Amino acid sequence: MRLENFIARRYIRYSGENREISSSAATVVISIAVGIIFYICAVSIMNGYIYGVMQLSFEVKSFHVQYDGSRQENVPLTGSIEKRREAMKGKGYTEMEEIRLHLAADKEVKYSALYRETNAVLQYSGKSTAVAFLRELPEDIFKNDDGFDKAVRLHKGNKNLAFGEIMISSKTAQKLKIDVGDKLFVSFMENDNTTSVRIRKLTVSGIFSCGLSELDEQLAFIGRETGRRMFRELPYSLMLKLHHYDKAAQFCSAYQADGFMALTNWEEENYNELSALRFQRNIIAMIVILVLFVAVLNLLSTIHITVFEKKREIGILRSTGFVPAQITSLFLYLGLYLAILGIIPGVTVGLLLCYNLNGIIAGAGKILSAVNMMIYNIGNLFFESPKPVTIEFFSSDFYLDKLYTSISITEILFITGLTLLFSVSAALFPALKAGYIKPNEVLKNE
Amino acid sequence: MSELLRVENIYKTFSSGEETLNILNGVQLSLKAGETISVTGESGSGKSTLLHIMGGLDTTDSGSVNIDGVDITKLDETSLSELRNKKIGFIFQSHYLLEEFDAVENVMLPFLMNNYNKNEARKKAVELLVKVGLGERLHHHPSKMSGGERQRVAIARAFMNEPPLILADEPTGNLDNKNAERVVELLFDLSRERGHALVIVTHSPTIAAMSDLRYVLRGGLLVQED
Ligand SMILES: Nc1ncnc2c1ncn2[C@@H]1O[C@H](COP(=O)(O)OP(=O)(O)OP(=O)(O)O)[C@@H](O)[C@H]1O
Ligand SMILES: [Mg+2]
Repeated sequence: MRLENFIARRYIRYSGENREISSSAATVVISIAVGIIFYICAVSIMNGYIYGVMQLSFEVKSFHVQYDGSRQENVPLTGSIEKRREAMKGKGYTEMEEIRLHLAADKEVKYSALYRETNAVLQYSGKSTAVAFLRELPEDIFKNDDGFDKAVRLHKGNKNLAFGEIMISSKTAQKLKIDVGDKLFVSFMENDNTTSVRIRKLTVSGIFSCGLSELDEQLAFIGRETGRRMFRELPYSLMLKLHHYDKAAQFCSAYQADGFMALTNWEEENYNELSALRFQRNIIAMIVILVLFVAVLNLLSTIHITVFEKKREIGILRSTGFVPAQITSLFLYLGLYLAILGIIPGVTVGLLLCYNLNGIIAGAGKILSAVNMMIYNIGNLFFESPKPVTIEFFSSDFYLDKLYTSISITEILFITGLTLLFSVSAALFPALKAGYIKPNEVLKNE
Repeated sequence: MSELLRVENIYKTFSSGEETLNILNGVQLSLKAGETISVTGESGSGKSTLLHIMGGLDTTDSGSVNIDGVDITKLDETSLSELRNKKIGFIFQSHYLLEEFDAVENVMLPFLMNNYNKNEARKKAVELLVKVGLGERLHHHPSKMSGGERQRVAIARAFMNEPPLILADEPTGNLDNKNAERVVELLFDLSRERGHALVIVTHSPTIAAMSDLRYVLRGGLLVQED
């Protein structure tokens, strides 16, 4: 094994001296590198996109962990009707506050608060309506939960959530054609058991946006005091923010084992969207892997050429004691090393690109704008032309101020391993052929 | 002296298209350890074919080739490779050195095949190269050496594992007369000094005259000359 390895490494090192082999080997190395760069960029941008969307959700909507106080997990099977009905109402403030204090003692918990929400119809001056989840939050949430504060970007007004006031998204404001300071009507039902619709009048105190319109549309916030005046028996839920969002599942299962069955984490809450996004990512990854597969086919022809060029050397190796399997493994090593030569720059450049993606995009935007400006200035010498628009890759309404990229070591190892596997498989055919070369046929005097 | 090689009743035919060529028609040969013999014969008479058969590189139609009492026509590929590595040193008309390796490394290869000890191999290879007069060319690659020098490296490689049998197929075919003489002298000297048996195929009567016994391959049979 070691001698074959030694010879293969030497072939690689000197492959530059043989024009046939070197140009074909270079093609292999470059195409593998490019394939891997594609893969890393595609997967890490998709991962970043998933993270970006999920981050918005777990900062604003689903939170890292929530405890659904309306879940009727402790309804006694026996006992008086009143008692059971009482339990079915869900948890009240004091009961939930006890749970909150218990969970907040965990040092993984960064922020915790009680909230409650219900579907509501918003109406402005009888002309326009919109639907939203009306969510009651503690007034100080913007001060104490910076994840929430950052994600909810204020367009107009304030974030005070004062008594009698409501914050709505810019999307909703547009729909209602309403502005800060205007008053709207909120109609809502507290739960499915009642049929009474109640109406309250609230003042719009702030207009915000998270950047993702599907999310924005759903949200409307009121303060705790406002909620207390509006709702009677709407149960409370608990929201938690952890120091590490990715530990949410672990956190939940630990406490579920202690009997806190109503705990759910953001991954469960966003299950459908998360799996749809991951499906998209995997499809893209598979397409890129196909590109890589085609790249690896070059390797087959390179090994083939090398075997042809080296057939006399193969003959002499056989005549000095190599068995066919050793000749085969020599060329498998060759395939392996060519793949490694492609993988190393591929992974390096891929990662560098990903880490600097935003800089590169901004730079490309600047260059394009400059070129655009130049063309405009030159054109202007001869005729009147309209001023060009600045080229922006992200619209200001896009939810992300930048592209997130993220790729895990597992994903890198996966693509590396797969490339190696492809390469060795591609090398197998010509390598086996090399093993079958008959020394007497290639060593005959010519 | 004991018998090293015994060739018995070797038949070999080649068929190209409709024709069948009877190249070897019952070749007999016995070679003692340390003996040197030459084989001459017309072009196309089957000298290379016979040499390849003796070295286990080609197959026979019938007959046997015994080396140290083992019939190599009955061996599988693995045992045959091992036998070639330990018992036989080949030298061909072309040197067939590996371009990517320098002189020392080329000579080391047969040794490394069964004992991957680079230091030991290097020591032995350097000794041999000094012996064949290439002490100043140890780290030259084949492309940076003359034809005679390359062939001397090939000789050193053939002797590397101290095989009892050296098979040389027109080792000087590509060299001019003066170079050829030096290379062949070297080959005979080394074989005799180390007690290796040598079978050399050649067209040159001068070279043939240097061997202990001379044979001609004629009509598919090996005939001894006096
Ligand atoms: N694989 C083969 N298929 C068909 N015929 C072959 C094959 N190999 C050799 N021959 C024929 O066998 C004959 C002997 O070939 P060989 O190479 O042994 O001759 P040789 O004596 O070494 O000749 P030279 O002195 O020219 O090297 C030739 O006529 C050649 O054409
Ligand atoms: Mg010949």
